[in-house]
Amino acid sequence: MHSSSPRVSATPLQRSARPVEGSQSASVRWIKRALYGVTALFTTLVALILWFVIARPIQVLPRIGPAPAFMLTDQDGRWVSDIDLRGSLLLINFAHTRCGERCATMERGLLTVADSLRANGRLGTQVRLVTITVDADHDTPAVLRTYAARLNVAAPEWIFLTGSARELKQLIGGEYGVYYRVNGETIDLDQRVVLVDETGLLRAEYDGTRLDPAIILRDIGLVEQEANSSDAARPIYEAAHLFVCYPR
Amino acid sequence: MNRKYLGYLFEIAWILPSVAVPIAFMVAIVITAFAVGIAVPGDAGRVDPKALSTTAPFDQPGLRELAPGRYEAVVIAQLFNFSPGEIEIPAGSKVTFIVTSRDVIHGYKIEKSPINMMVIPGQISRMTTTFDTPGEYYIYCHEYCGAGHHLMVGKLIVTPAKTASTNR
Repeated sequence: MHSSSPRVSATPLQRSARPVEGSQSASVRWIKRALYGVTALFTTLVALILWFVIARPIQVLPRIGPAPAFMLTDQDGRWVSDIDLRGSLLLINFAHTRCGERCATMERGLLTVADSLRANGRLGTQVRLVTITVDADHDTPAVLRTYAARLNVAAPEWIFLTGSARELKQLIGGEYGVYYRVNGETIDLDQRVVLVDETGLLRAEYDGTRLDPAIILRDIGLVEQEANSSDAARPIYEAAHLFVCYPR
Repeated sequence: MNRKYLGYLFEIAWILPSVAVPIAFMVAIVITAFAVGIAVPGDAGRVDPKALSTTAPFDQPGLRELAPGRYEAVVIAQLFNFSPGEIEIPAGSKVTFIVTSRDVIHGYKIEKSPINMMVIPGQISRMTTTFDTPGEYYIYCHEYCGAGHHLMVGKLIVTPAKTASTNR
């Protein structure tokens, strides 16, 4: 069995191999070349992906999900919906006018962001700040207008929104998932700032009590950079999303 | 240069990549773990496991009502229990679970629900689902965590009657 089977199989192999001896060595050379080519390509690809994921030359903000819809009243008594605000980046925060010193970090941080954006002329056009109050009973449009005047900001740049207690609870608690509780005068509030991009996607969430204006400005820059990228660069940004190249 | 050599080349063409792929994975893991600091991909966030008691929201673990029918459960998994261990919600509630670990890797699985998360120290796991059917559901740690792993069980109680909301 062992002695016979190699001879049987070897004979037709040699017979068929002999007439095409010249062309076979050429094909062997070709296969060898292809092998080296594939190995080189594979190695380069792996190295490139590793570099892209580790060095993260392109960073993006996650697309957390669609930002909730709303229809609320601003400080001048106008109806404002989320659709009206599409086309510019929104930095939305949840606060109330009687928060005082407890909200000072968030307020100062947002003012720093606003000043910095105003300095290069992007505030009110590319980026808008929105404050949605959690205190429906106290924060009427008139109160919000006084508050805006105290912060020295106006409507197209920084919009203050209010609505009924029920609407606000559904929007802020139910949709944005921000905890707050109104107990007459005292209000418990998880201070939160969110970044919504120009297409209405939620891109980042920040803790208001530890707000860092530098991080917000960096994130606004990243979203704008991605939005303004050329069609040729789009796949690279998609790859950055795929490989979760988020800033740390 | 014969058929045998040709076959050998084809063999090499398959063997080399199948060796190279695991080596590439190994190199990727080693580099990310030691050179850049491993980070679990995702947007749920990170937290210092040593400073849980001073970091919101983990300084106050428990169930909070965000809006009528909308809840947030902040849970800390630790050796060998969940805090809070028992969660009670009315049927039809939509609950977001925000879970992290104080010590080692745990699991967070609620039976008969899509909640099934790995709980990693330093990493926040977040998942939302709606509970429609009243009943009692066990919460398991399904990631072996030590000697008391089999005792690490919590309970989710879905009550039939929708209690009136106190949070407005």
